[in-house]
Amino acid sequence: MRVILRDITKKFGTFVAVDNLNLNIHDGEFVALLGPSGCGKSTTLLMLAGIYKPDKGKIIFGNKNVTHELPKDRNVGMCFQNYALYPHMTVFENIAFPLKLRKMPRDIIEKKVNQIARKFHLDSLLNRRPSEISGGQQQRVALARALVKEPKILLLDEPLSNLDSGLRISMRAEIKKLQKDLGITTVFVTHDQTEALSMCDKIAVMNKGTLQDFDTPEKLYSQPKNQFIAEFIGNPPMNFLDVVCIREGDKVYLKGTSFKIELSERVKSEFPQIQNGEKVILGIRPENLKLTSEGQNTVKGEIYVVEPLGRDKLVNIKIGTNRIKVIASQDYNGNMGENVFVHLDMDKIHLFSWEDGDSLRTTA
Amino acid sequence: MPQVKRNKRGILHSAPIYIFLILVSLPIVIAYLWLFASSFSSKLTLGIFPKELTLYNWRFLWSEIKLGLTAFESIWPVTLNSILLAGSITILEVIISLLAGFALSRMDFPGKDLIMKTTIILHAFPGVALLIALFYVLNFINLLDSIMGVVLVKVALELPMATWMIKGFFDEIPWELEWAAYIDGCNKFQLWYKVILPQIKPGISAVAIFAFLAGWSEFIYSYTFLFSSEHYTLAVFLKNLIGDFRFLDYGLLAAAGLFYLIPVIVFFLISQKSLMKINFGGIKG
Repeated sequence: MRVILRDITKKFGTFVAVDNLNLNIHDGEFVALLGPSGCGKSTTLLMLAGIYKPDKGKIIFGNKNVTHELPKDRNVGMCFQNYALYPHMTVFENIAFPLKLRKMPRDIIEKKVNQIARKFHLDSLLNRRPSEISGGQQQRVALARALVKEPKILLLDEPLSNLDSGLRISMRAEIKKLQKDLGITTVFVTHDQTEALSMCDKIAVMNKGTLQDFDTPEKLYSQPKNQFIAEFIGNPPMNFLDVVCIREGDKVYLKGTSFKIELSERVKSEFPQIQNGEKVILGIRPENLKLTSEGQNTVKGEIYVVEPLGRDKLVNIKIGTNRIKVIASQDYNGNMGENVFVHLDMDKIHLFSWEDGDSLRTTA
Repeated sequence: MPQVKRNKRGILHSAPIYIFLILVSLPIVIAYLWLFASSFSSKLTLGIFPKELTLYNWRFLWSEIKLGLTAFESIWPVTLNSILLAGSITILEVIISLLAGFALSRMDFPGKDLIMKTTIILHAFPGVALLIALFYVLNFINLLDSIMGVVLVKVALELPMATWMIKGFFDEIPWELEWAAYIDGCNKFQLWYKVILPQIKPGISAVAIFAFLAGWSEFIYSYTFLFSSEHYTLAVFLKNLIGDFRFLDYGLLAAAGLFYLIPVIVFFLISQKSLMKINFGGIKG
């Protein structure tokens, strides 16, 4: 079922949790709400569930305005970070609870619960209580309970955050597979950009209650609309350098404290509006930087610290007042305090406004 | 053998603790032993060893008793009064503290903080200081010399504590549990009955136990506000048995005291499990 949020605003007292949010989620899409804590993503999810009522705006499921409908009439399934299983009920009773409330006949409930329990490998745990099973198992019970009533929309509130890292990675794939198999419209709240990038069709990036952008993971990664998205998506995060733009005839240069580099033709056409003398922020991802010797498109810096990550090394380099991270190969053996040259892949740079952090790219 | 060595050292280490604990609890143990022994015997040797076994001290169970010039009424209506008093206090206290605790834990309303603070002050207030004022109030609303009057006073004084206790149990229920219940299809009543209530069962029994015990052992208000002998409770009855110490029958007093103790022991044995849960809070897992 498609989901539309139109001009949604939610306040708690004077605090604006969600500010004029517009989202258009297609049927069967897997969408992530991504942002730091307190950005309003969970509030948005609870409005979709019907727990919170928006102060302004409309929520539409399919063709129906459900803004004022109670949670029980919305036919959504939800899975919480702490699972929220009923401690006084067995696993079977937990999964059967939504069906019982719908006054389904006993034999059908039993059949459905057993069916979904088998799917989630819970068959042997049906008589246990939530406190007697592991976190991973509790999470599967929570998912089974959310899905047993065959909802039209599945809401996931940080479902992986309480799992240990190995289980989290395997559950990532499990949930993605499950969502694709069922074709159920799913909204997934997370603060972990890796989860959002790896699992979802589209990501809504939120910050301080406002939607920053809503697009595919690839688009958000390669053409971030502002500095917040650029920094939030990608690991390690994007590097930023303060530069001044200088036009000399046909050529455009970026000048920093200790360097001056020329924009490539392609990038120049992407950013036609930048003015001579304008202060801008140069953004470039660690993977588009290389440690080399002096040459074209290089910037001189000093090694601040080297972090070995196993597969490769993350080299922190001080350039003027800025600090950047560069990925180097495992056998790199630079030392703290040494001078190095960093080569920038000039086709992969981003420029952001110094004033508001918006991207200066003119999108076609 | 290292195992034995360690055990020996363990005993040596804990011996002083045991001796200390035994010494501290000895007076209480001896007191109960005396109570038990003297109720079943006509004479005691060495303080706690019965000499002649008898049931004569328990005669109040089947006949009227006379001490000196005073004749005492049968103990059974008095017992019934005590049960009525403790039972009413329990029921009222549980109902009111459940509602108040829920409101204080889950709802937001102006003055909530103030209410919580004043309830604590109310609890800290010594009840005896209120005796005379309460006498006036009860007289004014015509509840003097009535068990219900004592019930109301006692409930009012016990409520702050009970409310705070219940509020703690409500506080421990995560909001997500309520939300999950709503999404699973509960209406407000079903949420309350099927999801919330089972979580605070230990809290309810804890409050009920404390209320019952407080009601059962209530003395000062019963003694002050109840005059007619048909309204006497067991605590007052015991006090009257002692009288002015002139015609005191210690065997009889011990037997009656033991009789007064029985319901408390039975109640404790039944409710022990819930009582123990208070420390651990309502929800596990």
